Amino acid sequence: MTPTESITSASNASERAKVAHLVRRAGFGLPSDDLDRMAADGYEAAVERVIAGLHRPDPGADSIPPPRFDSARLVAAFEGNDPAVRQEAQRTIARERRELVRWWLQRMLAADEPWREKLTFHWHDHFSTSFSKVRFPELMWLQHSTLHRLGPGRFDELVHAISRDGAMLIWLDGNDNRVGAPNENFARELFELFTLGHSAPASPDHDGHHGDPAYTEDDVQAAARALTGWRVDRSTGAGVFTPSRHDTGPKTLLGVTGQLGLDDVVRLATTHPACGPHVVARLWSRFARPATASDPVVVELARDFSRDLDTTALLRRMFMHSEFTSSVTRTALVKTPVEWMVGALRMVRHDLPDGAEELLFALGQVPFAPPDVAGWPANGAWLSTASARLRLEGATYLAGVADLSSLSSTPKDRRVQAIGRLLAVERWGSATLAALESVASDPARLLALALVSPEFMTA
Amino acid sequence: MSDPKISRRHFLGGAAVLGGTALMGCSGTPHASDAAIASSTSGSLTGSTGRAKGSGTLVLINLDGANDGLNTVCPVEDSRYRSARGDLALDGGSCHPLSEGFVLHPALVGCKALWDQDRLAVVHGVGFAELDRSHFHCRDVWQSAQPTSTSTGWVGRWLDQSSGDVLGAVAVDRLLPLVMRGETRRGAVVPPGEFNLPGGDALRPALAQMSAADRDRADAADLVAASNGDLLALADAVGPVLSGGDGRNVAVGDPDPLASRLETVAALIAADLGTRVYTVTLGGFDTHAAQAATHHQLLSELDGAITAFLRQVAGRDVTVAVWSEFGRRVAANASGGTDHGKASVMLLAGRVQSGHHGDPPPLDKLDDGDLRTTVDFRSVLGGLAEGVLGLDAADLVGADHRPLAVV
Repeated sequence: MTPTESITSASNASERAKVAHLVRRAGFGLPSDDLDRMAADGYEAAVERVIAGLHRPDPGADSIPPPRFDSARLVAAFEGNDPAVRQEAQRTIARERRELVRWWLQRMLAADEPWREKLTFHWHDHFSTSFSKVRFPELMWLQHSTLHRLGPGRFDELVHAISRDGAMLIWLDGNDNRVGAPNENFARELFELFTLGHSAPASPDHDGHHGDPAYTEDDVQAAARALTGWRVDRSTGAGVFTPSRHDTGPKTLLGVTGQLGLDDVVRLATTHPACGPHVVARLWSRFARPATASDPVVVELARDFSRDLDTTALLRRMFMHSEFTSSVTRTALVKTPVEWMVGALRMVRHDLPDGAEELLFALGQVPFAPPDVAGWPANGAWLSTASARLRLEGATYLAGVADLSSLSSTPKDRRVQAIGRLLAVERWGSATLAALESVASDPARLLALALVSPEFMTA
Repeated sequence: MSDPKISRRHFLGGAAVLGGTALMGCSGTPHASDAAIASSTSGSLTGSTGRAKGSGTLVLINLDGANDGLNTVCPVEDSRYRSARGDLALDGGSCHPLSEGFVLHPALVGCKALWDQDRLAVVHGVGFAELDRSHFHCRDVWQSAQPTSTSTGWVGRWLDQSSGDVLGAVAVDRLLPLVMRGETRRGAVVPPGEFNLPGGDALRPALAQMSAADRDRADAADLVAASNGDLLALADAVGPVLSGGDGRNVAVGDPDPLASRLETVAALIAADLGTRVYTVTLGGFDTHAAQAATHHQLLSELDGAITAFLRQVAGRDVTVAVWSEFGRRVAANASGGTDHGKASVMLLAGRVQSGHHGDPPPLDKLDDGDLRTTVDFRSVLGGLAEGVLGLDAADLVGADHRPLAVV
């Protein structure tokens, strides 16, 4: 090998590692041969492929048929008083929920370019809504369609659509919010979680100052009044405006006084200086590493985002940022249960097993059923004795049913290298390496152990 | 383990036996347990008789979503209460009288029996100065007990100082709550149901090897390794206790009723594993609309679960503390519910200084429509830390809040 060749292959390896990191964070990781193709033209080209893929239809994901919904019959059943009919309706809801959860997981598995599914999952977590309160699964499906359609676009349009979304109107009681009887549930979370961030920082900044709150209790109550009148249309599941329920009185919201309505609330919230940093911090924490709104990288990225509110442009700048590919960033996140399961199944090219949704339930992350409006916790919260046990259980099962022929046909002394290639883990730490070598004679044990390794869980 | 005929059950794991009804079925299925109440008086008194202070076990129950304290322990005849609450005001006739004009919500039948046995304490006006009606901020403050830091919880900080193993504190839960996280140590999480090592001992040596220290590992990876290592230790200790074949830890048809979580706690306490603090959560208290029925059902579940639990741990030195991140607005809203409020009540049961603690917030001097805080929650946590755990309260919750003698 000439010196030039050695340098080239080393830089190829590091370029491939960067692309492996990109596809793990922007998607659910790629098996090695797909990764090789993705990395062939270098990191920047790979970023452009991800960005372009966010806006293309995905035949793989779209080949999964959505559940059959029977909402009209459910509405009738709950309007009536026949216990047997209601019980049957409950069974229908249970079936629709299960099918809906599996439908999305299968989309994540089948997507040719899973970036759009990953981004939709982020927005689901951001605008966290659960079928625990939204009775009709079809409403959750409609919300998913909105998040999927508008997710890569302008953030203010997304907030506008979510504010009138049927599932959200039920989830945060907008449906009950009317003139003379304001319900502030949605207004509060719109500011605190969806756009501006918590008003009173729990800790002072490094100079010891508590910043001015972005909004006050008066703003929450004014926004609730401005949002009155939006209800769910029972026949379509869409949000509709009923003028007689709207509070037409003057309100003062975020410093602006007038006869404000939903359009104004969305405009004032999404153009507020606190909005960009808050939304960017959540996206950076999802795709790169944990950050707050005052993190320098977040402040830098929020400058352009606050101007254009263009999520795709933000994602491109995030992925091209030098901090995104730094060694600290590459090991900073713990896979969530969905990321872990979908990632593992995609790597070994296995279909969604029966009971996948039960395992996710036990692990604490069922799509469409986040614990509350703040969404799922992150990182350390997923690492407990209980989740370690469940991951081992799932990994052991998967190792028992997956096609292990590529491992079995590899000579024993090269199997640890092969499992790294199979799972697209570039480097094992010394403790993991020793452990993997100790079970290399048994391909199923090797795979099970690798799937619960610190390197796979945090890559 | 290399046997390809592993059954589907293995992927489902313990979750399979829980059944899918509650996961995919409608939420809010009532599991009120009136049967539990009848025998509640048969438990032997574990009151404050003849036990050393500071050698007990603390069970923290979190009512997540902000419980309506005013309708839990209620000044039911107060006209200001009745006019503010309108249709949501409780019917005095079906409530359970305590003393000093307060009654318990009609669902709290078992708690009333505990009151009559001097095994129930009520702490009025519990809150804190920074309380701002945000679930997430306030939940973090409660668990950290330090408003300027939300990265560690007060139980986690105790674990940091203690020399015990992973069993020092146990959350019977699915995820690791903040209260259990320290700088270097974390409590164990045991889900309801059995707890064995999947795949038996086949992977044990390799798993232990993989959990060994590795200086090159990043922080997040270190936590993964530690959780795998703790799993091995925990499976040894807890596995035999919880995988007994009588099925009494298996909840059929409903994954996580509070009663089954507390049943797991009771089984662990009975095994004398040295655990001093347990945490469990009951969610659903964010009752912005149609509150009356939901709240009744939730308090009924709480009441039945606590009653059954105290019967299961009869004869042991156990204190139960029920907390919620804040209370609800004094005035009802127009959706038949209540919006976010401020101060609320805490219920303490088992070995406690029974009766009323703290000053009930005055209904004619509200704080922006909410009950005022008269007792900082850290005073209560400090009292529990000293009275139940024998710890220095100032170490855990700061010296600013004098421990309240609740135990």
